[in-house]
Amino acid sequence: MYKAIVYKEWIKLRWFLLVLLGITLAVYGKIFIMLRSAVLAKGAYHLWYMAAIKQSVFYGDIMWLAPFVGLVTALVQFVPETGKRRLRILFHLPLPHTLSLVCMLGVGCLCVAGLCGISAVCLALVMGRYFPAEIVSGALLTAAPWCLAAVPAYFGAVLALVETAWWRKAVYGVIAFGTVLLLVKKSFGVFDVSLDWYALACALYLPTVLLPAHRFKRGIV
Amino acid sequence: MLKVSRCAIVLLITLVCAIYVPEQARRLLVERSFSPFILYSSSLKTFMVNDRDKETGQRRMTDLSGKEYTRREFETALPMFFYKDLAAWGCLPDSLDGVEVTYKKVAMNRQVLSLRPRTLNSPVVPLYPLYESASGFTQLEEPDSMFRVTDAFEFLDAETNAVDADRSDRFTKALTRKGFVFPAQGIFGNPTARKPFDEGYFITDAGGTLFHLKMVRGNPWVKNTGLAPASGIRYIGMDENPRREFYGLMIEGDGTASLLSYDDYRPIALPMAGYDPDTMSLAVYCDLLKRTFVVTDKKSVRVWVTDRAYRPIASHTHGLEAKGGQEMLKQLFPLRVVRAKGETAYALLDVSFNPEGWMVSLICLAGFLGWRMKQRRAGRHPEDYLLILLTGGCGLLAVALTGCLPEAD
Repeated sequence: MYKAIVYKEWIKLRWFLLVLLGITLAVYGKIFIMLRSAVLAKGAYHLWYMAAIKQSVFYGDIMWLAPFVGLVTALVQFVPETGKRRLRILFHLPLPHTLSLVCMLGVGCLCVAGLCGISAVCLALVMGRYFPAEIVSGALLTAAPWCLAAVPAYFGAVLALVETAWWRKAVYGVIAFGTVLLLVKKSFGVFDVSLDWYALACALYLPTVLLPAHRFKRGIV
Repeated sequence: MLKVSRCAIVLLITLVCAIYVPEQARRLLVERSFSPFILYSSSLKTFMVNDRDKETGQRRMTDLSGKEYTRREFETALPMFFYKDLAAWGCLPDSLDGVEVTYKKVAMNRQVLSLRPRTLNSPVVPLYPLYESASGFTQLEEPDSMFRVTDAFEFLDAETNAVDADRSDRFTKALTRKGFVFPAQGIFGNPTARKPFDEGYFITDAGGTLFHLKMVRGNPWVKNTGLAPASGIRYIGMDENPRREFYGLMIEGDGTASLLSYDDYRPIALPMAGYDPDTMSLAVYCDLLKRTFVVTDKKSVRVWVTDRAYRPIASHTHGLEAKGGQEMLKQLFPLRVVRAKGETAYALLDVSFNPEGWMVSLICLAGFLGWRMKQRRAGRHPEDYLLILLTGGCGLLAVALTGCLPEAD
């Protein structure tokens, strides 16, 4: 049964994942071209100085990428399910409804995490082409909270879609947007001392969908 | 599991509210505030205060007796600071305290250093450019590499992004010969080519001993200063100045501030009692006649004046009015989550409970209890009462928005 749910999610997500992967690669392509042209025009030392001493963030274009991936994944997974209340069919499978929901969310999380992982590898490769390990690791640490922002974006969108009351949908949307805004800052390494606390705060999102799903199942507004 | 889900939603909403709502309330309650500019007048032998009127925002220039000055009179009383204006007006004094005063002498003897807590609490990339200190040219040139100090001293060539093994080896050996123990604990310099000359870097080794390193005609120049404060060296703000009196401002691990004197690397003790580099800003003004140290925090501006040999002359503490808005915030919000402070560049997630907000907590709790009783649900979710007691309005909002679990569950 789990395999069937995973397969259903895969069928929904596959083309969108390809498009999201394409967008991710295109953004990194743009960053690479920008860095290459800057190195050719001004010399590599100038870029090193800007990165190490002025702490410029050359890769700010990827800041909204992970939240966007999270949002699109949630929409692709749950818009077809919540339209015409199809999610209730899932809840009537011979399987505890919590488990089937967790299975769906697990697939979504894996896809988002996979794309974030690919994004991190691309960042390391693009930056590693021109910069030493100190700047590359700094870039990865700077981008880590941006990737973390995919969690509130994904779960916030799922919460808003699964919730039955319109005003709660709005509350979940606002709270998720507020959480994402906490994490997307184009400043070098500022989350070094607090990223674990922000990760812990984002972890609160993991069990949140169960309550709105329960209301959805019972048709309670 | 539904209870866990509900608790997670309530906590999330409380957290986000406790971050954003007090922040916006603080902006609403913001008051006009100015940090006064205070310096010692060598001619009038008193402190001169340039403050602004809290209501009108108008400049108000006085001395400690309260006598008001016009801007021109104020600047004339501080000839060592406003010497350019005084020279333009033709009223620079010929001598002060028996010292001959000329425009050139005043300009040559001026040096200003400053250190804000934010400088100490910022992310650092451990890569540094090493400038040629004796190129034979007046202007410094940007190098083509940067260095790092890990288990060895390594130059990284920017064009190839590879270690320059030969040069790295020479610098590593030069440091080792002088007793440097790798890895480095701290590297302090002034990484800019926009300075009159270069004094290289100060590097503390694994044992906490301070070394001075420069590149002279492409070769390493290393000196073991022998300086190893027990609490370690936290920061050295280098400032290459033609006066060549000190290399810069040094902060030790225990917060002690000193100036690192030229050539013999002797720390010059500074008179600021109670200076905390993590919460207070420091400005050092050197001029032809004296040294002035200004320490500013949220409560006061404290000024110490010494002669050129750092013997105390005068000191003054100017209290700053407490911001009423801050007190009101504490009373309004029993829980605040602060994500940024002026003293640090890092993003925070500091949770603070304000006992001053007990009144708001109790009002919220009473209102909530009444509402639940009206709904005949007073016994449900007892954890909500605790949350509201601890967090006040933010918790109340979260609980109200989340609602109760469905009856049968």
